[in-house]
Amino acid sequence: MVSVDELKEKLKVMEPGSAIALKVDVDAYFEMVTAIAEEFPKGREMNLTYATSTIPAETIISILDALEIKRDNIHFIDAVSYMTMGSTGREKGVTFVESPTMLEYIMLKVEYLLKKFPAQENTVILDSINSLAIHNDNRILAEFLHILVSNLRAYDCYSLIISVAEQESEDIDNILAMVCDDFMEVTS
Amino acid sequence: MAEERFSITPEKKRERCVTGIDGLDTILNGGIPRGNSVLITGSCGTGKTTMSLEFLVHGALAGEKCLFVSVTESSLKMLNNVVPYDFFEERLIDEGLLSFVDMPDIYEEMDILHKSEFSFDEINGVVKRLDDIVAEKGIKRLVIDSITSVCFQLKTQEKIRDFILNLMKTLSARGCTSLLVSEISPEAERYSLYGVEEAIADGIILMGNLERQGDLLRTLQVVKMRGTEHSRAKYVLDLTPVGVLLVPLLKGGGLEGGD
Repeated sequence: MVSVDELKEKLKVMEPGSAIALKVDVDAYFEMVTAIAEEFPKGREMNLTYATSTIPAETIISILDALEIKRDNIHFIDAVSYMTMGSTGREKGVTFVESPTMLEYIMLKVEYLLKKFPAQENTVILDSINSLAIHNDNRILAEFLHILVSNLRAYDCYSLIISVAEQESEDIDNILAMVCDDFMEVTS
Repeated sequence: MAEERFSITPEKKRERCVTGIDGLDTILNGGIPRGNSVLITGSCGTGKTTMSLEFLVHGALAGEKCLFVSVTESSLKMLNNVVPYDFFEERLIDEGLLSFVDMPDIYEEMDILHKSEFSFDEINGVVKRLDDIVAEKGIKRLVIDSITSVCFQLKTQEKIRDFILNLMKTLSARGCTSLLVSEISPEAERYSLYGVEEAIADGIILMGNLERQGDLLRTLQVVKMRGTEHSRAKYVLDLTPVGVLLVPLLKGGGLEGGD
């Protein structure tokens, strides 16, 4: 069990190409997300790709803006807004995927952003495995994560895969254990 | 002596025409064997024209002379409708590395524009005219979009076979790698409209729309490619400003949706 502050320190010494599963308490969710967005790229030439299937990118952007967190280096992949008939306007820095069931397109958009915005270091955040599990069978989800993380390792890219503690299941834990190098339980 | 001539060693593997489309070059084990004529086949909206044009742009960027032969719509209209590539440079057209020809202009020159059916001589004349352009400009990559539209005026299987064989032989002799765009209906159970093109072509790249749980995925599958080992799996593609991107189609342990 680590606090958000401890997580920040742990991220600083993360090896390039490694994949970390972050099991977070609901109460600590926004604190963790904003901490990663603010602290991880600090002092580094790093781009963050934030793939969300949990809450619309617009909501996360509003929170980051409210906290005055710089987001020039953050690109969002939003796989939830189309499905919920939410806003899919031309918010700068947001790429949309029509449905969280289109897992291949989440991979394609990640690759697109890595090629479109080359940086010395890249981090991909997947938020969250639980919301993807609502819409996808565990077997296809395992296949998706395996291919995604393998590709990201080839790019020397950091992978952070969020799961919500309150929605945990043994199947999801097994999938994360299979593809991730480390597993951290984050609390506020 | 004869044994030596026919043995296949790595050194004697055919030179590759690197498409520049990362995923496709991986699928093809390094690219299309140079001189091959490949059928790019699929129904409308599957990305045939966009991918074919990208193949030419990468060739032009590598310094090869490339030609796009547009049959159904003017080159200008086609260019306005494709994805704007980040890597496209206007100089490629200015320097003659990338050129466009509208097939109706060739027909007009030959005074056959309004003919509903071409004779064998006229077909050979079209191939000769294309060969002249390829030779004159030193073309190494060529796209005909679409071969189906050309075949529409040939009517018989004999004429279609004659035209495609003649065209392929001519282009291959010039060391020109070609993509022949073929249009099929979504429910077609073969790879070309007339059934002749697929048998003759050196390669077939099938592009499609796969519906899975209400989602429509663009797919690509290399069905055949002479002169190279290749994957025959189905991939999902996206048309983006950085070019065509490909990832494997997820199968989910054999669940529905794997086709």
